[in-house]
Amino acid sequence: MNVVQYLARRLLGLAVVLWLTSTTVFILLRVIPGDPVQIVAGLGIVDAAALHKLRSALGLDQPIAVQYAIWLAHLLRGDLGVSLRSGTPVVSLIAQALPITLELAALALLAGITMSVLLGVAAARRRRRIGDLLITSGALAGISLPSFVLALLSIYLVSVKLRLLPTGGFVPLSQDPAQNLKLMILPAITLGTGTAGILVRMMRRNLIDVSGEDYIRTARAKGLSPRRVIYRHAMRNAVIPYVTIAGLEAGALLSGAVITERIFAIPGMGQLMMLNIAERDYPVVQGCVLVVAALYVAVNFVIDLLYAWLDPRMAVR
Amino acid sequence: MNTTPELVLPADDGTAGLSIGRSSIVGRLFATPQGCIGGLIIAVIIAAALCAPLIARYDPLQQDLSSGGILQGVSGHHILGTDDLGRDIFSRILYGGRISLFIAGAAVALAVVLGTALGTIAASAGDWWDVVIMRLMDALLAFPVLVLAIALSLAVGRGMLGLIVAVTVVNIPVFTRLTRAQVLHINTQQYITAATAIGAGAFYKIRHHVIPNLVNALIVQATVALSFAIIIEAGLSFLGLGVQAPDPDWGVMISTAETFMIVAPHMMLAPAGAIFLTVLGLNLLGDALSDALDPRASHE
Repeated sequence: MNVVQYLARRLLGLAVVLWLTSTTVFILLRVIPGDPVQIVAGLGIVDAAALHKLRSALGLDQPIAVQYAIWLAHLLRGDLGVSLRSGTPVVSLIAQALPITLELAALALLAGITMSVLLGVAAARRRRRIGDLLITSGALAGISLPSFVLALLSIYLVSVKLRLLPTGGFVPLSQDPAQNLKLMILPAITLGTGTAGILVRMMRRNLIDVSGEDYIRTARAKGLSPRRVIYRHAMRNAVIPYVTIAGLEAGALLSGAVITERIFAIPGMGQLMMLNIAERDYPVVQGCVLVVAALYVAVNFVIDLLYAWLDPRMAVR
Repeated sequence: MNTTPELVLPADDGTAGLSIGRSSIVGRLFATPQGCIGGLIIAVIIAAALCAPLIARYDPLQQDLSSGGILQGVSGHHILGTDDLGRDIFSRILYGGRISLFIAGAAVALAVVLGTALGTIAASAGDWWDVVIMRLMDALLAFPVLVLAIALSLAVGRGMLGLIVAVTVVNIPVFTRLTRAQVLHINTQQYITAATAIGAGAFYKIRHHVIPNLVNALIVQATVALSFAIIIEAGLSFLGLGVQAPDPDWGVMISTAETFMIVAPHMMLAPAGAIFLTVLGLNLLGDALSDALDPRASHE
């Protein structure tokens, strides 16, 4: 199979998954108990005629199949509807929140990868010694502590007790980059710790697995320093499975960001979603779920392609 | 948050599940420090939750709103202190464990049953079933877990049922994929060819050959899924979408404790410790189990 066929097949699969995902979102958000018309009208209005007028204005008097067709047609044009409360287009609300979540997830991934490469290599080099035991135990603890618990504990320790960093809040990157980073450090590290735990174990295991290979013995035999053997030879092969897991984790960070944003009062996608769940503004919630899911699918797609590029044997299958 | 259900496939040495007997698995499991520590932690937590009415000295809902009753620190009367409504935190942790463990256990059990059924159908019934089931699983996997769980718990309604449905559905795809992969592998084995040759029907083969060979892989995956279910349950309840106050639940307790973090940090440490220990115990047990079932692991 050539590259064009491979890409075409993968893109078709991507389109099918996106369609199924959006349909799932449509169905889920339609079965939520409670009448959206009542919500828009405010719970005070009981005039049946007024409610009926509002219902047809929102298109909610149409059969469900027609509603679905209209919704899908709008979606294909990039129209996610308007907020029931404020009338603001959902797309513009998301356009404000999305970059913030992406920044948080990227910083968390960066924190996770940095910790995992340094600690994973250190553990593999000290295999079965005290340093290895400490690092692998720390990694397990990182995996076992949910990020929201870690976030709250570190706010208490770092912000309340030691007063090293602010407890939360947000300043746009474009407005004040230094303050933005200062506010993002704690959220990114607490969000990235679970990822680091998983990746440290992955990196250590992969380095140990490849350490028995012939080319590593050859590299050692020709007198390369242990550091050079690890970074030039072992790492290159250990990194292939690592990339897959790192990609899965990048998606998981989008999920974790929902709670982290709520705790640190960061106005990203998670915060937007949770606030509108409380307000029962479901078009906004629907838009958020849809965009996050699409992003997640896109990340996984890119990781698959990256994987095929790193290990050409995979693409042919 | 670590919210990706990791797919743990056992070693594919062509003898999946057959090479090691059940009793020797238990022996290997508890021969490792991880297995012993993890097993001990989980045994203590389950026993504490089951015996909560015997151990707890107070009703988890009993309030003491007197000025000396609320936000008490650790003391002989209240070994983990009291919360903002003067309720005994230790009793709430014990009863909260019942709720968390019940929801996680029920959801994972349901996910195992449904996922195994779907995976077996996908692998055995062939073309169209396979395509439809696996594309549906892809669609479920296309959501970040917590986001899907939030949407599901909203659709079903806040509370215990919503939580169980949400945690079940997010876990189904992993079990479906695992079962499908295992069944496809098992179907190529000689004992299946032999069973077909002597005229065994599909149902007979599934019951007598496929399921016994699946069990090991399912146990390992279920342990991982349980730790993950505890985290999702606590997360949803923390966000106000799961168990509702005043019911004692670890996630709800952390959510309340957030408000009182500065004046009463002990309110947060207790449920945080409970979640951490439970997930740690399950992770240790999961690691030990996958090593015990993986013949290659002894080399490392």
